[in-house]
Amino acid sequence: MNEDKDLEKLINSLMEEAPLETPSDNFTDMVVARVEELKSSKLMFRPLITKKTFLLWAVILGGLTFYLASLDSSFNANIGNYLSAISEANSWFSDKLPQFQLSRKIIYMTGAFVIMIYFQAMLLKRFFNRQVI
Amino acid sequence: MEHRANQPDIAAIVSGDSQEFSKLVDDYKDLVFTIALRMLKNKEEAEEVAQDSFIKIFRSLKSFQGGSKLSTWIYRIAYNTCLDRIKKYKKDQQTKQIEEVGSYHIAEMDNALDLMMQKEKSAMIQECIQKLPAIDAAILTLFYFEEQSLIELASALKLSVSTAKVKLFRARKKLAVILKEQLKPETIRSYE
Repeated sequence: MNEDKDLEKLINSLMEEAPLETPSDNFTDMVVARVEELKSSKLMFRPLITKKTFLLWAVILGGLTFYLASLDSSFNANIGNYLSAISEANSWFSDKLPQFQLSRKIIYMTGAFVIMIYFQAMLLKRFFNRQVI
Repeated sequence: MEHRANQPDIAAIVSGDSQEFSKLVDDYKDLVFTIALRMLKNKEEAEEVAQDSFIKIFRSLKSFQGGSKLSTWIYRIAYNTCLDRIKKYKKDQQTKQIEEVGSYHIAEMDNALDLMMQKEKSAMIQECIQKLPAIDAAILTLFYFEEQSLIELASALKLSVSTAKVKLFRARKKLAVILKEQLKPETIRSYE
């Protein structure tokens, strides 16, 4: 026991003699420069597909769909049917939805599944937050 | 242990005030760099890791909830960043066998150190700390420069207080063994 006390005393006096080390003179400036870089990189968001390219592709795909559809002779005849089917969809839902029934098992399963997903998301968030520290 | 009267404004740093952040860096850079240097044993690498630690601190300061002291939280980030670097490059840290250091040896070492010139003594101690395994070097540095509080040490290393106490005791013993090797009998005699 006495030996441990002596050892503690010796190391205490030793550590007093070991001063803190100092980093290079421009250390703080370098850290602040990196932080500034980090801040500016956050603001510079560039999407992978620019708006222009996105619109161009939408026009090309839309045009191509209509062109291919117009080649089909039955398309023009059927277009009226499609439109009436869409307008009838509303009444179809109001008719069919009350008849739609789920078994209790499926309801419980879906509920459990949703709770599990939320729980895992919460755990993962906590895990990744702690990993930073 | 220096007392930090003007704590940096955390809210200002979180909202992006670099000036305030530079104050925080100035306050803690020496200890963060010392921990990195004593764990990694290389000045350039230590400087790089110390910088990375401050970047991590800046990024995660908004998640600091004040559950522990700001300094303890900063040292924990620095310690973990160094451990990550050691793991990444699989630096082989030699484990020092804990030999017996008796009272006689301790008294002998104490006398020899008393007679050494200040500069010489300081250099020798630094050399001995450099030879310690990374975790032991961090434990001693954190303990002796952070108010010598076992609670703060345990909190920084995420250990229980009793485990931190055992680890501190072992680290002290390892340092004494290294010092004993450094101060060979002939060296001790030359100071007698």
